[in-house]
Order: sequence, then C-alpha cells, then structure tokens
Amino acid sequence: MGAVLYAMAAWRGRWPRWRVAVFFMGSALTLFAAWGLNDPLASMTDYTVALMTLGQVVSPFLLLGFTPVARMQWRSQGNRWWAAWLLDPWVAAAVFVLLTLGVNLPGVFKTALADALFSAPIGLLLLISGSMLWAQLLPGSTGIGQRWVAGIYAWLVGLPMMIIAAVWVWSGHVLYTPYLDVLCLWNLSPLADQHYAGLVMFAAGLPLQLRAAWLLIMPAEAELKRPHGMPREP
Amino acid sequence: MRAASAAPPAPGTLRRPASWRASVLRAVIASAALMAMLFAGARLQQHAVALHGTPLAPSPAPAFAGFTDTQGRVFSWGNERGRAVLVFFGYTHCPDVCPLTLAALARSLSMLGPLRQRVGVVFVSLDPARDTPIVLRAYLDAFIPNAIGLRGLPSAVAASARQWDVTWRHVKAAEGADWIDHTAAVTLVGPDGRLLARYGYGQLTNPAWLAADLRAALESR
Repeated sequence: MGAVLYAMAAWRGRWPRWRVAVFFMGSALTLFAAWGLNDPLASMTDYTVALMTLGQVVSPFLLLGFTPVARMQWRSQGNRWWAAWLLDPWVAAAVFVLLTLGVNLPGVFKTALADALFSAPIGLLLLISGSMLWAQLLPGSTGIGQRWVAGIYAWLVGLPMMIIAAVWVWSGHVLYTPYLDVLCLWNLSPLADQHYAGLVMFAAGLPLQLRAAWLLIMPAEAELKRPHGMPREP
Repeated sequence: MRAASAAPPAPGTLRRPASWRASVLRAVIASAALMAMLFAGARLQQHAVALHGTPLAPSPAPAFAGFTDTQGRVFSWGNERGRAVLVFFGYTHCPDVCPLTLAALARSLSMLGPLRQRVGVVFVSLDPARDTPIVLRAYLDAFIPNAIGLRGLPSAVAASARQWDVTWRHVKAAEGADWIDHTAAVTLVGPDGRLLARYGYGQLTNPAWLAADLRAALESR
C-alpha cells in the first residue's frame, strides 16, 4: 500500500529514477531485515545486521527516496502536529540515544538485545528512531538552524552507538549470557560472534559519522545549488 | 506532491528555527514515554529477560513417563509444585561434562541459603543399563545428595529425550570404552511446572548466574 502511494507520488512529481530505486531498495532491505529478526538467538552478528540494517540503512534509503521538496512538505500546515514530534531534532536525538542505550546495554530496562521476544518491536523502534535522526541530516526535513550544529549533532548522537560497538569488539567476555548456549551460525564461538556483531555496528555507524563530517566540512552551497527534485518554475 | 517555490532548507540553513524550549519539552515527554514503554515491556517479559539462561517458551514440563527414581518411585511434576527444578540428562560413566555440570549445579545451589530447600535437581540417565539404582544413587550423592535420579527403559529414555530436546549417540572409544555424546544442557522448570530457561555449560561457569535465576524464579512466585 505504502509502495503504491509512493510510486504514485513519484510518478506525479517526476522524481529522479535513482530516488525511486533507492526507496525500493530500502523497502527490499526492510524485508531482508525482518527475516533476520526471526531468530535473534541464532547469532548475535546476524541479529545485529538485521537491527542495524533497519536503523542505519533502511531509514536513510527510505528518506532519500523522497525529494527535498517532498520532505519539506512534511512540515506543511496539515502535518504540523506530527511533524512537531517526529521532525524535531531534540526529540529525534533523545529517542535515538535512549533507544541505543536501552536496547544494546545489557540490563538497561531489562530489554537487552539478546531477548528474542522483543526483536520485532525493537526492530520497528530502531527503524522509526533512525528515520527521525536521518531526517534531521537531510535537506528539506531538517529542523537544525546551523550547519555546524547539524554536524556536531550527528556526531554526538552517533557516539553512543560507536562506544557500544567498541565495547562489543574489545570485550574479553560474552556480555549477553543467553548467547553462551547458542550454536551460532558459521561455527563462531559466542565471543567471536559478539566481536563480529560489534564490527557490524561500527560499519553501520559509519554513514552517520561521514554525514557528520560532510556537514562540518562541506559548504551549504554544495547542497543548495542544485537541490534534487526541484521542479522548474512555471 | 505540490511544487514549492523556495529551495528546501539543507541542514544548517533553516530560516525559522523552532522554539528550543518547546523542543526540549517534547524531547522530555518522548523520552519519558519511551522509557515507560521499555519498562512496561520489561515487566511483561519479566521471566524471560531477567534470566541468564536461554529463555524457553513457558510450556508445561514434559512428564517422565515410564521412569522411576532410585527408590523405585514414579516421578510426578505435581509433587514438585512450588519448587524450581533443574533437569539434566547424562550418565554416570560420563568422563567430563556430566560431573562438571553437576559440580557447577552444586556450587550454584550452595549460594541459595534457605531457598535451597525449594530447588530440586532431576538427573535423567541416558545409560540405564549401566546406571543401576545403586550406581546412580552413589553417583548423585557425591555431588547433590538429594538429587532425584531417574531411570527408564531405553524406549522411554528415547521418547523423553526427544521431548526435552536432548540428542545423544553412543560412541565406541578406541580403548573399548562406551561413551555417549549428548546434549549437555540443564533445563530450569519454574515453580508452576512450566519451562523457564536452558543453560549450556558456558552459562553455568559463573555459579552466581544460575543462583540469581533460581532466586528470581522462586521469589517472583
């Protein structure tokens, strides 16, 4: 249903084909990630790939599927109420950081990553929070007033994720005991599985860090001179 | 989508930033709502998430049909209501994992204090031919004196092992010894007679983990 609505909007707005391709690639990756959430205790790496795909790959892909002009429409008068919440940079940062810590640190809220019963809602929450965060870093949907602030914002908000990834990679023991009794995929020991899961999280955090660097280094004109999807003046 | 006449704002070019006070308020409300949701979820899944073992679906523990203990009595889950029970399949001639697992269980049980009285251990023999009642009793007494040792016919053992998701196979060692490769997992059954969690040997290496789980299982009742 969503794909049909999107296709109609893209056809009417004559959006660039690459945006349509990216959107449908994001949709396909959503299905792939949903499949990965099916058995989270099979492997921590496998589960992390699914969660990070939803939070840090699918979300920017889906957003990039819309032109900056279309994203700007999300703040229009009719959408004012939900945009005030979902497109607010403070709300996005708070939700993203809280969810990153609550889901990935064992013991916080007792909803650790290793809990199979939470995999579907956690995946959905990561998709929503990732989309809220990435919306602040893309033209049209951003609510941040200063470009350098946006860069530091992206770097700071992504920092907890990178710290957790570092802990997973360099920890000398398995942090999630339910994985100790799991025959992991690819014949990895639980500790090696955790190390690879940390590497996956590192890799998933890189686009956010690169976007932060871009916002800090590159001038605003690079994005404003030729805004994609801008219709010609009548 | 309607066309806009102005260029969309890139990050850092927004002309009319929203009131930061309203934003902070919204962030606080959203954080509180998210925390409440996570806490509520944690409460709903209390048994599963609080344990160090691998959570199991809370189905009733399978009965040990055709088994008797070392005194010749039939085992009944009804007699264990109100007690947490640890179930382990093994055999007395096991050279490594069975004695290690029983020793690990004994260490955890010794940390429970008065709650120890409310925890049972059931050792199910995979080798009833060699594990006679006398042999089985002596073996268990060396580790956990009040553990229940169960024996049954090979057909009953096969059926029960299948129900408890335990696999095994006989291995003929070069020196003529008859060993059994088997699933070395301990299953925790809650005081309500339902499965709670499963522990591989790696999850028993720290005795405090299982002790904490047993306390949680008994005190949440």
